[in-house]
Amino acid sequence: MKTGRGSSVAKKRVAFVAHCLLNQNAKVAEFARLPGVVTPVVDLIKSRGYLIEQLPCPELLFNGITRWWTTREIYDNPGYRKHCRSLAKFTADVIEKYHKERYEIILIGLDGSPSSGVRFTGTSDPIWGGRPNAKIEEYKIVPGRGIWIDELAKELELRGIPFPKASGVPMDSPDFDMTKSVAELTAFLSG
Amino acid sequence: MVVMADYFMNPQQYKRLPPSQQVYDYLRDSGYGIIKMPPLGTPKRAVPAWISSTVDQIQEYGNRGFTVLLLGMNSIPGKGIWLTELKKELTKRRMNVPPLKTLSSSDFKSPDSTRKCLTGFLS
Repeated sequence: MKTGRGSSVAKKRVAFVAHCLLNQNAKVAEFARLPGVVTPVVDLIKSRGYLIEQLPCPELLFNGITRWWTTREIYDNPGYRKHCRSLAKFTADVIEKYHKERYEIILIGLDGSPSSGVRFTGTSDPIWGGRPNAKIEEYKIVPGRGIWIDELAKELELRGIPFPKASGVPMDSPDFDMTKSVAELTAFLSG
Repeated sequence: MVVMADYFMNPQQYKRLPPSQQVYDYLRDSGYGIIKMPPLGTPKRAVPAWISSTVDQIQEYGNRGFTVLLLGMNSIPGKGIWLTELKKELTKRRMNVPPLKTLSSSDFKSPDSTRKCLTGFLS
């Protein structure tokens, strides 16, 4: 960005990141890939001059840290959507503030997540239910948004705020590869 | 788990304070999970729900055996962690206020001075 006098001014940028990118303790037990911060991802975003805002973790706030891992179909119910909508309202308040201040806003979700997936979410087919005895191999990654991101998008749409340019780090994908994901994120941030 | 001020994550937004990443670096390298509090300019109507969801997390982590710590900055209202609001919500739920450490600009003179003041608190 240039001012009228021609001097350069850094562009104002903010990244809304999935909660667990700063706090792996929020993950379902045994699904954390790092102790706390997902350093390669967060440091890359910071290095590009983005402020970091942490999205709420709807699963942690709904089912706690001892929850089972689950799928989009199971979370796709009125109660969970209502919960996500309540989080979306105060999150959208903050996004709206940055929007009004003309920040470039991006959103980095968690691809493969039933809640925080942006490009990909996790599904069960056939529908599961009852006693959890599913194998991780039965968790299928399919194109689509998670429930939380879906509800956040709806809230932004209601306010006339464009959904941010968004991507996801596929940490909930069984074949997740950090090097590949960082390269992909680098390309996203450069695009 | 550390509940920390926005300043430690986004120091570039705080022109009168040291533009230091040292606290973030230290927490990251020590393996702490971070709950970042909203910045000062957060719309007022959003604050109660943010505080409530933060206290939900403090409660949940506390109930499950995690150590939860608060890390604030002295020269920012509410120590940058909305301390008044946080305490009010904790008290309402009859919960103890987690251990609190507040830093000052003088703690950022060097990486060593920052590390020194954090080590005792976080270890």
